[in-house]
Amino acid sequence: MADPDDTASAPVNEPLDLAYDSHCNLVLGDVEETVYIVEEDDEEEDTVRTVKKQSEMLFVRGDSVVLISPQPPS
Amino acid sequence: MNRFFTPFFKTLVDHEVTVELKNDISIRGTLKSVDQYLNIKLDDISVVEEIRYPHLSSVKNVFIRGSVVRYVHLPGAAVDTALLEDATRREAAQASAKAKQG
Repeated sequence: MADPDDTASAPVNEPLDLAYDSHCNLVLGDVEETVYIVEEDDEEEDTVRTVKKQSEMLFVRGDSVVLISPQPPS
Repeated sequence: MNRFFTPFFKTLVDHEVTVELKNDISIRGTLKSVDQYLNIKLDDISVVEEIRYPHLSSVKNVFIRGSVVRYVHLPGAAVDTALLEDATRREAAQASAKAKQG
């Protein structure tokens, strides 16, 4: 990652993981996708099942993006 | 139109990618070309869940309209992350300069 003091040449908040444009198209590294699947059981109660998918490098098309929430630095 | 991601995808031509569409079908194949709308041509394709989606089992190559793409899974080793981050900084700087003018 770039030197955090080097703000003059890098006006974007660091770290950058990884790339984006004005359409919210994204390229992300070290990705975990969580899919929430709501199922109705016999008593008509909703149960939520989650499926996690890992991916080392992922392009996300901007028109499916709803919100982007940067994680606080850990 | 897409100055940013079209050249990026062009660097990945001839690599294996998996394109996940908005109808949940995932298609794996060799990336053959990308245009300004991020339309994608794939060769030697296979559908990831072939039993659920048998429609394409006899199809060898496809042209995918960019607007129906949800994800493109990329080979991590083929992506130059430093180059991408630099390009993003430049793009963001240009966008903010434009916003100030307007």
